[in-house]
Amino acid sequence: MRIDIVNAVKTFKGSERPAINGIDMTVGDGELVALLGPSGSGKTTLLRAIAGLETLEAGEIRFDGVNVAGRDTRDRNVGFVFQHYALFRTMTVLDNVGFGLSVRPRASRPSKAEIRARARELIRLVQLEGYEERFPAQLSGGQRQRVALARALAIDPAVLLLDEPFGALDAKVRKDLRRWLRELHDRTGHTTLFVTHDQEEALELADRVAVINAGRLEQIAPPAELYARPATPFVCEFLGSVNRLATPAGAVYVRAHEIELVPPGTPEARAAIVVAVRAAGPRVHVELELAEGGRVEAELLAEDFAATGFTAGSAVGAAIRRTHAF
Amino acid sequence: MFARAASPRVIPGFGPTLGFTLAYLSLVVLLPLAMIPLKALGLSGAEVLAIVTDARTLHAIGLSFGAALAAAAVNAVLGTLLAWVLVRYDFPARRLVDALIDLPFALPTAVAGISLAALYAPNGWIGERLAPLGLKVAYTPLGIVVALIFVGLPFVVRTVEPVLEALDAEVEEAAATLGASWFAGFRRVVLPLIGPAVLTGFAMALARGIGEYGSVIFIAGNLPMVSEIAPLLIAIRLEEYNDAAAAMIALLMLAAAFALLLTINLLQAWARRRIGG
Amino acid sequence: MTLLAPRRSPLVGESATTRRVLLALALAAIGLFLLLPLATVFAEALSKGWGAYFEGLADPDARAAIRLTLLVAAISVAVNFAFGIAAAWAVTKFDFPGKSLLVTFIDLPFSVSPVIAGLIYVLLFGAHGLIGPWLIAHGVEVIFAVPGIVLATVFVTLPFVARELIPTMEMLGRGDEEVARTLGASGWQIFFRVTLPNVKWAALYGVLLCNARAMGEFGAVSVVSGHLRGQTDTMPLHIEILYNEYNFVAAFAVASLLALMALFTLALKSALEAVTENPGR
Repeated sequence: MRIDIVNAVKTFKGSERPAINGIDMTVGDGELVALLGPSGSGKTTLLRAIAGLETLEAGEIRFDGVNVAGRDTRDRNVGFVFQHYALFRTMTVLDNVGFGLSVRPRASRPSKAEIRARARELIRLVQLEGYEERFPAQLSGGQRQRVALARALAIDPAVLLLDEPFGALDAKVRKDLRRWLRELHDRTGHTTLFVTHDQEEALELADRVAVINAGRLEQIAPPAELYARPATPFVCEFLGSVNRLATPAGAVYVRAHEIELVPPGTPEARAAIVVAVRAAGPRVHVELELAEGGRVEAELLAEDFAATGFTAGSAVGAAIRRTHAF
Repeated sequence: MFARAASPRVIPGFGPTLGFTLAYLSLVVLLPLAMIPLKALGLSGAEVLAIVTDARTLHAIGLSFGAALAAAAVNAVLGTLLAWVLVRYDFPARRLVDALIDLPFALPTAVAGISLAALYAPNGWIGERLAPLGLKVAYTPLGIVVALIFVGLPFVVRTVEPVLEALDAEVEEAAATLGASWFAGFRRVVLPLIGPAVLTGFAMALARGIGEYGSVIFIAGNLPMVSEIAPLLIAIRLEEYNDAAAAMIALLMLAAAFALLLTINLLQAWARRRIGG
Repeated sequence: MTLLAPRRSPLVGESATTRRVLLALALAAIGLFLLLPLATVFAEALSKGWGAYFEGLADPDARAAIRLTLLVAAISVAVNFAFGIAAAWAVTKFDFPGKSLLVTFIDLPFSVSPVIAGLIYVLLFGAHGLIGPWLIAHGVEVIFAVPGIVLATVFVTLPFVARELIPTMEMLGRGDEEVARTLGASGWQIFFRVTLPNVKWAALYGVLLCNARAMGEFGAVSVVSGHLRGQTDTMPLHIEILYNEYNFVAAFAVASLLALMALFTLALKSALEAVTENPGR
């Protein structure tokens, strides 16, 4: 199913600034799109508006071209996974997953046996066989996350909406689940939108990433393009570590890994002094004081830095391979 | 349905539940309560003056407030002690004691009333032990205080307990490392932190004590100008078919109680601001 | 609130003697102010032996009082349970102006003297009341009759269920209900299958306290009852009559039933607290 968001606006009561302020975007059928932005940028509000959990004050949300403004959450057929999962604590895993089917109107409700069979199937899909009779409190964070996903998938949703799906998990589980979600998406083909504040997660997982800031859409593009051709200073600064250089023509942005360290006096390179070197695993961050004034940070592989022979205090040349100007 | 028209809400049931709540609250509480000012308004100025300056009325109201204040003060100390012991110490039957604290909430006031009267009467188990000391409790204002201590006991314990549990141990440890004695640590570090909770419990016990009836009338003796409480005077005026006087005394009580609780709330807000709770 | 292990270490520098003295004081206070009055009820009830005890309970008026008390408590608990559910749903699931005022009003009956609670219904429905004369002319007796007793009891027990449910539901948030809605559940399905299982212990807790107060209410009921023996006497009122007649054994015999009810309430309350402290099931 395709989702069109047309000039969406929403202001919360008692707030001066709109939470979302005129967002236009389209999510194609079967696409996996990330809503990326800092906290408070309005991305969760947009997701909740698509589900009908918030009401827009202006603009439209269209499912396959049909405006769903007046349509109750109940009738939108969206699978929503909450940040903290909101599993029903009084129900077993099996009952949680089967809930959506068991509350259908009598005429369209499958039999009890069918509901259980379908729930078991989904539990298998999310790799939780053997946990059917457990209660949410007896599961780990990652397991709860998968139950929430299975529960959302059970109603055969037209669109899957995930709010910070990995936000409450530790780093290792996050990575595993991320890969697993991508595979699951490729297998089931649900149109999927997920909210995240983690750029790595968005860039790695999504077909396209929508960067949201202060209630506005900054850019929506495939990850590679977003990185290579940021449309706004915000996007550029938000993705990766970036240096801002003042030039006579205005500010330009330089990514840390796009600064190369060369022997001093190399043509086209700027004269600089190494101020500090900080090791971060396989990479090092090198802080440079430019002769023309200002500090920048370069990032390179530890072995490459070692090969240069520079240390703190060395005079070096900083060759800037690429700049972004707006 | 009408809620939908106003503003769509995700969870259903806004209109019916709010409608029912408001209707029920109005019919059971608000409209009947409005009868008190309504009835009191029917009195002429002279009649109002006669009631509010009547020595018996003033004594009854003074007694209700005075006894409630005394009992709430005792309960503030006693309740803090009980909460302290229950939260900090380990002893056999602690669970039982903790459950027993709520007895005054669960035991009907009339039962407590006759039981306290029997205990403190001159020939009662406690009364006969106090008599040689020249101490008379039953059928005196002191008896009223005893009854109000009973009904108000759980309030302070239950408001202080959770605060005491949540207290940061490091604060006390810091006081100890700075050389504070146990008592100084308690008085200067712990007490200010639990103060607002003690005050809340005190206010609740006070409010309850002012209006209390069942547990008091058996032990009070109910002598006009000596041990007659305001709620009893209301009941007496009502039995004399003097509805307006009953309403007027009720209005006085409500107004005084309101003013008192407002003062305590302000005090509390001030205390909270100071400790940033 | 239940205690299994000491929740906090003793204050640094607190000596064993201090601890022993404070503990002794606390236990003495419990004994004097709580245990002794409780024990007295049973001691007085049985002071003339079991025969006299059961004689007091077998009296037809005592039995009528027990029946009336059970009836009044059942009605009060039922209507205030419905009210508590509706009020908690409205207050915790939605935002609307005046919400905190509404919550204050719900608690109002707790700060009104029981006698005043009775008084307002007399002013409304009594023979000289606002609509009492009209009702009496049409054959409806409220005051000095069972409806008045029910109304007064409903008033004083109104907040119990609501004030247990509101904080519990506030704490649980709206997430579960929102999920249930996205999964297609109707309002009643959400309530019965998601919300109620989440709050059942809190609701039961409220019902328990509501019932204890309803069965034991004295002041409010005393004002509206008219004290017609065997007709408008609840158990607490019957206790008063027997006591004033110097029939102490019978008075304490009836009182002992209410004391047992109170002990049962406390036991169940402790059990409930133990359950809610170990969630997951």
